[in-house]
Amino acid sequence: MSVPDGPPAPAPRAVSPDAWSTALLAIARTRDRGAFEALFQHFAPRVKSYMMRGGMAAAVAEEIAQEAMLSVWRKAELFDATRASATTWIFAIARNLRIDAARRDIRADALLDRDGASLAASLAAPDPAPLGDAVLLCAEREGAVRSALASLPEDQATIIRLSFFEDQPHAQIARELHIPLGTVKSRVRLAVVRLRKALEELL
Amino acid sequence: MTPCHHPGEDILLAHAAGTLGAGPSLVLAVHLEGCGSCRALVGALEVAGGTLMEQLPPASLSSLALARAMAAIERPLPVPGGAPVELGNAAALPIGMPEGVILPMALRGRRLGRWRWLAPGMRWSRVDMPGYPHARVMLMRGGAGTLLPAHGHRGSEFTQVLLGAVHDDGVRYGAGDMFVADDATNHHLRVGGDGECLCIAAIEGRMRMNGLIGRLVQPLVGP
Repeated sequence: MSVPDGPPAPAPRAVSPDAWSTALLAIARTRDRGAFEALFQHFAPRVKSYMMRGGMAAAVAEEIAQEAMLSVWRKAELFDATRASATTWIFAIARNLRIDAARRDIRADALLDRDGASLAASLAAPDPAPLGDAVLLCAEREGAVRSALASLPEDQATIIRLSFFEDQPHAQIARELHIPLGTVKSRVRLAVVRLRKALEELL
Repeated sequence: MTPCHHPGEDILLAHAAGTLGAGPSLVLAVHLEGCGSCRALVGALEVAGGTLMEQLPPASLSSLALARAMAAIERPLPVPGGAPVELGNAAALPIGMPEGVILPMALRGRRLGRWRWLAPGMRWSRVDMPGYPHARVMLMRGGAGTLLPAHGHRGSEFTQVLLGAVHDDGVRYGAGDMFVADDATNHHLRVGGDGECLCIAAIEGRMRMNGLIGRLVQPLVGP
């Protein structure tokens, strides 16, 4: 198996399963430690950064990043390349850990529950050997979303970014940006509608 | 059946971002099980989340971080305390359900309280939310034609119809539909005439009951 030796090309990417997904599949199939190391080097600093954006202290953020990467190792079999890329899947794991960290009542089985319920992780058991076409379709779908995201007007992009990172309800975003709540909601709607359109154009 | 009423974009975004409350997230999870278009949209928003995470400047890790991770993956998996699957089977249908109800996946393995009286023709059951003591999620069932006590909200109520239909000022919400009432809403809900109705609802903030029955019911459903 080939271990990715550098970051994948920046978005928008070519339509192909990316190197990180390939690394994840290698962990699922052969417990490939080299692949895990590559994934860790790439994703752990980003997961930590994501946690810190939500206001978490650096040391706690690093603990959660460790926990997230351990989950990646242990749940690699649940990864389904026809449903999501590695980046999306790892984001969902990190997000779920952030939710659980927020309530500080972490039980191992609760974590398993949440990840089991995650959409990006998978709604059903993954196929043992994903069809190449389905993986390509998934990459194409994600590529379309990424392009749509990249082409959002700045005011909409800001609201989406804040929604993901600042861990605050929209009322707080409105206060922070000094705009009415209705404006936040309409920007969210416009942005999400664009992403929806990007998906529909593929059908 | 394809749902006709869907949660708003802001709710789907909050769910994908992990900032929606535990109760509303559970109700939304039930909706997503039966709604391909919302599921696709949440999937797209998760792609957006991953992309944004990818674009963050990477934080520096402590010097031993990689060594710790490589050691951690060699440790055996902790034995999970109690098998969740068995709990699921045992607790799946501890209470009677209207005929024809298939318990959503999101509710399997959750403890459901016994049916209690809510109003004439209406009963409710508390859905246990372990780890979220402040989340208020309930199942509600009512016979055909039952009128719910009129009520308003401070905060929001997220409702997903599991069986039958409810009408609210001329709008019909059937099985698979989700609707959200906020503080501007005053409900006049009535169960559809063609059969029993079952809903799951999450309440955030306080519910304001109107009328005599409402005031009677208020202490039962909580603060």
